[in-house]
Amino acid sequence: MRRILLVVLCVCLLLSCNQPNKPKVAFYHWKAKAEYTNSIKKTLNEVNANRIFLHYFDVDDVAEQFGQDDGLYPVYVLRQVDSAYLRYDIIPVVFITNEAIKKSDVSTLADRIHKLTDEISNHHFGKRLEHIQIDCDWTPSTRYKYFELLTQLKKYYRLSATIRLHQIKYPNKTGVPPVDEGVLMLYNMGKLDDDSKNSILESKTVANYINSATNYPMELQLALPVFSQMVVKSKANNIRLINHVDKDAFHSGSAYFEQIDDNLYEVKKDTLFHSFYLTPGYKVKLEEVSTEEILRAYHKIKESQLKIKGVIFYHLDDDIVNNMDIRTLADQL
Amino acid sequence: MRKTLTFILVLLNTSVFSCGWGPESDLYFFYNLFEQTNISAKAYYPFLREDENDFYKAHWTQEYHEGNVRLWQQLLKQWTEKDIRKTFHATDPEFKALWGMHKSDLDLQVKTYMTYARKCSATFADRRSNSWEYRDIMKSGSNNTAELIEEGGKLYASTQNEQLKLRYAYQIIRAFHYGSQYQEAVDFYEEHVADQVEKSELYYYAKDQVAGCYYSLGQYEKAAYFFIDVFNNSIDRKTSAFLSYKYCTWKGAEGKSFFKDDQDKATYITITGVRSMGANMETLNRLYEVVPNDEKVELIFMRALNDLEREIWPTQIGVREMTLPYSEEGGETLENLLAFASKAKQNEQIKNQAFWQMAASYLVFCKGDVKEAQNQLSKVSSSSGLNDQKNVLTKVYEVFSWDKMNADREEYLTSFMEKEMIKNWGTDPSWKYLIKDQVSHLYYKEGRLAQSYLMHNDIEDVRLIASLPLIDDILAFMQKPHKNGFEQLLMKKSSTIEGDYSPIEYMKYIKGLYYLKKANPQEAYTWLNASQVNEGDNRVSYQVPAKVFSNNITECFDCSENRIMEDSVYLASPFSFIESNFSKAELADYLVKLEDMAQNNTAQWKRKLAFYLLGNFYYNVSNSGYYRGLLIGSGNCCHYNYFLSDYQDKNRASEIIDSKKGYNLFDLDSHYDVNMKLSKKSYAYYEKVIENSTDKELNARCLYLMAKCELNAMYNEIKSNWHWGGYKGEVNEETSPYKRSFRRLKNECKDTQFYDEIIEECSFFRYYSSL
Repeated sequence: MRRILLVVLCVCLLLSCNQPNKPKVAFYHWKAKAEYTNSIKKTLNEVNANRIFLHYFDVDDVAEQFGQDDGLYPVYVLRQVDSAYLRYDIIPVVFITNEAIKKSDVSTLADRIHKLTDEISNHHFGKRLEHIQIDCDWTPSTRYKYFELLTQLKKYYRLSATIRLHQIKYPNKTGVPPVDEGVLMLYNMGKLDDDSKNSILESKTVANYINSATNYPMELQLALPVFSQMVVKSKANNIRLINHVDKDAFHSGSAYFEQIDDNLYEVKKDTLFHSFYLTPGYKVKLEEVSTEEILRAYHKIKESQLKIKGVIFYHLDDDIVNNMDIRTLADQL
Repeated sequence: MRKTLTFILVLLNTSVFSCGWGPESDLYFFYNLFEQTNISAKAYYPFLREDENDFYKAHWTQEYHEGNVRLWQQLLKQWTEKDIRKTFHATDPEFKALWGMHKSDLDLQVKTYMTYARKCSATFADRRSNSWEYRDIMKSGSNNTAELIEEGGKLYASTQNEQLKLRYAYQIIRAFHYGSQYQEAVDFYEEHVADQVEKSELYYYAKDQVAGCYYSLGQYEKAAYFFIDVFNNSIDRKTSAFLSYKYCTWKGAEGKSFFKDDQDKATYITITGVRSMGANMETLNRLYEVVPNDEKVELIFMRALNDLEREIWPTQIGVREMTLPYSEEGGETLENLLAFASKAKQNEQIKNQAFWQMAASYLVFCKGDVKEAQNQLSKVSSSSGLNDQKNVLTKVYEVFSWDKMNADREEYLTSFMEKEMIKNWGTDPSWKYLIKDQVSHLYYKEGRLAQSYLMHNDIEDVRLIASLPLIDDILAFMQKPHKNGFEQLLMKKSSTIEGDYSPIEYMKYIKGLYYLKKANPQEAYTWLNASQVNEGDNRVSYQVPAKVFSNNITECFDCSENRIMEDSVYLASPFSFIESNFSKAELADYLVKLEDMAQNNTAQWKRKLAFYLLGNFYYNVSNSGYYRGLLIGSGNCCHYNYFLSDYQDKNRASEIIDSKKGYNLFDLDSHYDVNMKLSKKSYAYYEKVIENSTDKELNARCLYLMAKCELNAMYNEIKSNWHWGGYKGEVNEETSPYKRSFRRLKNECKDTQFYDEIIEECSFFRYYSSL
């Protein structure tokens, strides 16, 4: 009997060593047109991703307040969705700026978000979707209104919300949002205008917020970056972002760019570059995140007490899936 | 956002008529003799003085293309102006069709540019509205500025033609602006436009966009300065720069810290001057110090002059004690403007001398010196381009030099006034209606009432006016043979009388009605019977019901006469000559017979009843009687038509004419005669009834009817708002003198059946008897 038990134990251990607990993988989709190219299809299949967090719209303070008009409107609204996505588990995502929260009447805003979200879902998917996600980097000054908004939206949906590292570290100060589930954003954690650092993700930055004792009172998905970007800084230190890194433009013989550091270039001749106008004196920082860096950050999280139930890659885009080996990354999680 | 802010701005700055009616035009209130568009710079027209629109004859969304057209004309020498203008708002098929005739290399380059520009405009138009409705969001299109910028950048780089290059640069800047890439727009402008190109109209189009970008970047002072520069130099973008500059001032920015020269200062003075209320002379003087020879001086001067006209050339003065020009207003401004115009015309450095010469002449005329005005006007060169204005002033001065009218002068008027003679009044052209006012005044001054009246009134409105001098004069005018051209124009005012009666027949009838109103049935009969209008096809000559000789104790103007006019004494045998319905000539005849019966009949009972019927009639046609519209061809509605309110002029038409009040008879019909004092006549007749009667019931009734006459007198004589239903029967020091009949009724008739009846019916008497 004892021998049988030993054998069973070894088999279990063997199985667990060969088949570690792999997190479920999902993707954010953040463009107004949700295309379903072959590359995207292949990537989703390779990583067994069935769930898409589909950006529906942002809410921002875009107009002067006048009378009944509070100036808060949806922008960057989703317009087109390939029918292939009907097969997937879609979670609408709405991003709200802090300025919008400050200015809002919470009930009115909740109603508007609810109505527009359902309209978009009905339009593209023929039905209401029961689970939505709210993305907002709330602050102590917007906390109460934001949480009230979430409470109101909970009347209509199962709700998840994005959470940043500083909110994990200081839950007393920032509060814990009243939602069913959270998503810890592990990107855009640095300063865009810091030429020496990668603003997307640095694992040592994660270590400033998360240690082995770190906990949070809800289950979390982990949002990981698979994108790259170019940060354009003007002579007046105004920052603009260009999605993805156009490596070809920065070769050593370039007439327009001169390398001044590892990933940093200075404009030497004016040019229209990806719909931005660059003049001499402008700087361009190339930001890419390696698989190794992502994994380092991921493991930091895994070493903590945070309950991570899945991973969401940001974001689903042809340029990204063609330039990043997402499958290998997913395999190593 | 810009459009929303513009809307808010304009709403706060324009007049809003909030209580229903509003005039269609500024010219409803004043005569405009000096055309504002006499200023030399057409680009400043939008800032001429006007209340009715956001800009002069334009809404705030009005687009201007002059500068752009001129720039295209420099490039597209083979194109007609019409074709160039067509390109701005052509539909796709129209746009395609335009290129059939234009196929040169340059044309093809222009076509490429215009195709791109149309794409840009369509994209920016789509982005105008914010919405929470998904349907609207989907319609509005997506933000394609990135693609446009890419495309524009390539086209800009490949184009050699300087003008086209600048146009591409403008579109790129515009795309940056609408894509919220404000700093990019500024940078692009600084690198490729600011000091690199000729300062043409498109340069200022681009600068206007960049100014908006500076605003969005929070650099309000810079934005303000750029808008000032655009306002000063652009032809098409002055209005948008003007509006945008206001946003900057709301942020506390005026652009002054960037001012470089007198032009900047002058533009600032102009914009603030246009925005301010009533600071014209101050603005004018400040401008003159800085840029005496600038077009902006003419603009501000013109605004000031137009403001002056609003004070001294009021329309519709009619019977008010006013004059034209109305010199009690605007004296100081007039002197200041005249001094300014004189100074300007003496300054040889100032161009457009003809403008200042003309203005000085006009201001001298406004002061009342027609001779000197004519003298100065004669010095305005006929090659000045101001001939239309000169012609107008020549005519106006001529008319104002007259002290009376004669045949020659009437003929002079027919050479340019025809349709204005047939209309009572209008606003276009303003100066002709001023001439009408003045001519009507001259006639009035001379006592030529017919001509004065007919200048502004319709013949059929004379039914409301109980003035024998007016009626006689109109009749005489109508009967005058061999009318000249001007008189024939006046006669056209009488060409359509209801029933197709001739004016002479109509006026004879009106004269008959006048005598009825004056309780002179003999004379009335003569005139009524002599007129064809007595046939009964005009409102003044409809058949009269016999119940006009009845009376009522229930007051109800919109109840049927069968219900209200209950008294049936008129049906008694002595009055069998009264038909159930009859003409007014017959009415006059009946009144004569009743007078005769009342005075001369041997039977006392017949006399008293004749007095009774006469009393009934004259009360019924008084202004509180059931048939109060009978003698003027109206119905009996409503109190406000028959009694004056506190704000109405207490001088009525017949008194006005007798005392020769007012400037002319423009609004005589609105001063229609209200009270012919017929209730007093009625009262006297009822007294006669009582004198001749021992019938207590009849006498009681007569006392009540006399009380009605006293109430009528009270409503007419005491200044109050009682005619709005405000009088509740109060008895006080003011009203007591009108209660004599109530007093008698109360004291003498308590034992009558009528007393019991009337105390139930009449709350006023019920209250009185309780005191």
